[in-house]
Amino acid sequence: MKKILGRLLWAAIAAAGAFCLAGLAVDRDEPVNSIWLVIAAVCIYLIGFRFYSAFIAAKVMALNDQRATPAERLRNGHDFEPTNKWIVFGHHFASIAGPGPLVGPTLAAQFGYLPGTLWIVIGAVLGGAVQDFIILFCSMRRDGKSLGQMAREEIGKVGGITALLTVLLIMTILLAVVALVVVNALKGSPWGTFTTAATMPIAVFMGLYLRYWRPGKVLECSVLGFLLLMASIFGGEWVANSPVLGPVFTLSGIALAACVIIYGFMASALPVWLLLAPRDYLSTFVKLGVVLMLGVGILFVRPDLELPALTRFTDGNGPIFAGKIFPFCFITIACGAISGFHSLISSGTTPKMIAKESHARPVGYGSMLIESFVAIMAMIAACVLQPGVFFAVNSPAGVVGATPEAAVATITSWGFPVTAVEMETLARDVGEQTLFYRTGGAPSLALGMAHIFVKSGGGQALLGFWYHFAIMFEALFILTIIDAGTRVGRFMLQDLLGHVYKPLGRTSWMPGVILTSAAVVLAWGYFLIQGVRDPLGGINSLWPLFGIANQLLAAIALCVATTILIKMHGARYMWITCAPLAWLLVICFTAGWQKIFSPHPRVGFLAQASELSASLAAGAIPAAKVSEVNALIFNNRLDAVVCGIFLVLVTTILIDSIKLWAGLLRGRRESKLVEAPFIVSTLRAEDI
Amino acid sequence: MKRLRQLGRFFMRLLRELSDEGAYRRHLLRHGRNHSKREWQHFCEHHLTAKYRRTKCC
Repeated sequence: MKKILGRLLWAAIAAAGAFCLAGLAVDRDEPVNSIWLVIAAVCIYLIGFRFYSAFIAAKVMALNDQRATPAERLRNGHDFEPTNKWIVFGHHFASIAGPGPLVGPTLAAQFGYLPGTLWIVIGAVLGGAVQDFIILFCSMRRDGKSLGQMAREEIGKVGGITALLTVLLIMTILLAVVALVVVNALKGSPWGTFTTAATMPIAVFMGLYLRYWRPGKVLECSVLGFLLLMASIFGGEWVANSPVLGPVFTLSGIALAACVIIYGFMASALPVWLLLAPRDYLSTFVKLGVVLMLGVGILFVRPDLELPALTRFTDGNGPIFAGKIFPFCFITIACGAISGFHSLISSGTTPKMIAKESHARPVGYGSMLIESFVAIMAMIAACVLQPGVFFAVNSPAGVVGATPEAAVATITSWGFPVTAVEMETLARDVGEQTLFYRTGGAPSLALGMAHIFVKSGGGQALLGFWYHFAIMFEALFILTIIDAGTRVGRFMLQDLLGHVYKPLGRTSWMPGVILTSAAVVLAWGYFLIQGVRDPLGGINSLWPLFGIANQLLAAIALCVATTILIKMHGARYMWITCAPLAWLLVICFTAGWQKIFSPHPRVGFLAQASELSASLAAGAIPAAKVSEVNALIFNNRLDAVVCGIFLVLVTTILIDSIKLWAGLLRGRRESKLVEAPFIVSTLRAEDI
Repeated sequence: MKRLRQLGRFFMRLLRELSDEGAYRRHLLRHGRNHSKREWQHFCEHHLTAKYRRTKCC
């Protein structure tokens, strides 16, 4: 009886999901309620988790709770520690959730809500969650080894070096693009700039409080930090209205970029307890709290989606970024559907905390589904805005026109009516001078979130507070990624340079620390400045580059996973990782090729460089702008080279992998798994 | 009510883990030491340095 009821329940879940999806796909004439999207996504996640992940866990991995995990065998109370599965789940989710699943869907909403939503849900269930789960399993069976170590051991030396180089390059682009999102959100916004700037002294205060006044009281200190953050949001409004302080905090893009670069350098060189760690605590708690608030807000308000299911920009002429729906929708949304960066987390801290092998399923597969749901919430938050407002906020001046009147005329001509007065009123309501040309996704996401929070309670008077709360939340954890990323990049560079000159490898040698921190900051800072100066808003060139890089890292992770599956089962289950791998290769190589060689200047880097060169040669550029245009030409060529390097690196590892797979499947190569030995677990459930 | 208390306890455990307070408690237990300013600073030297050698996700 129980079995029949269970089957009926799952049939009902499947039917509900199919019904809601069909409703979303068919209903085109009026705004759709977001609850349809939520139910469709949740039903698909439930089915994916219940059936697909269970199949992988039982048949492919043969997870065995009798087998001791590295957390039990190598327990040291530090890295390796058997931990309650839901604690590991929370820890893992907090580590994988960054700005990607919030910003990517917001940008991809230019195609309408449907393509991005389908990719987020299907990509996560069949690709992203599978990657995270399998890499976590592989690392867990190999004493918590990193992706690079596994690539070296399972594929070969070339694979290991390629993985390391790819990670370094991706980090440079990642840090530049997320810094650009912050810069574009704070440009000309004294309220936002003050609030974000205040997070730094607050973090230093927390660092000193923890070090000298109340050592070890991190939660107590975080509550204090949070209260100060709230005070800084209220203080920001006062600063913005102050005739003296307002102009001080009204900064241009270049000035803000310089501030972010200096901050990245200081956070990398200063002791970790002073700035980085307290900011990270604060950022983690605020991030989890806001995600929860947004989920509750959407369920409570159930807003209508004002953006259509599909927009005219599927043809590739979108104002936010250029390129057709295929492949650019799938490149724009990386985190939330499938993200290569997750493989670094799944082969980092998490495998060292798993107490029982079966816990890898909710942690690896389940956490990714939750991140995917965060991306769905971001999509909803972006789509609750009127389309005209959405495009006015996200379009660069170079596309829609340099004055508000020109911008609204262009956007209205696309069929998304909006007026300059409407935009001015909205800007005033949220305490901003203007909301035009705020490319990068953060401001439109903040507007959408503020609308949802206002409707949940508090009234329209709090729109400005919630908008800046959302901006502070986005800036807070983006800056945490910048400082932590710069530091990691510094360590990688020190490791590398230590082979050339030994003292440079020592993390305690101050000149080495300063030199390598500066080198890393200058690398991503260069791309950041390039993005700020770009007349097309920077996001048009940098976000696809980041998306391609991130998806290519996922391709590397899936190559490692496929190799291990072949060594375990031959060709029988290789489709599980090969299917998402093939899809990623198709979209990444198509997007990469188009970004380099497309004849359309807004899409192809080389075409844009050629167009600018031709204008220069024809004397069509004013003398004052010649050096700027020369820089743009160089930057476009540099972006083309970087994109080409990504493709070459992944081709190298792919060829290496395919040769190995062919050898293994034909029996020419020995199928040798490098797993840790089987030791019977003695860990009891009550010990965890 | 019991469920609610369990949920509350779980939530506090998660927060302690995310804030490294759990890791610090294990550090004290493992080394058989008592909490002090010096001990916390010693823990931070090792734990935080290792923690921020790892990449954060995007």
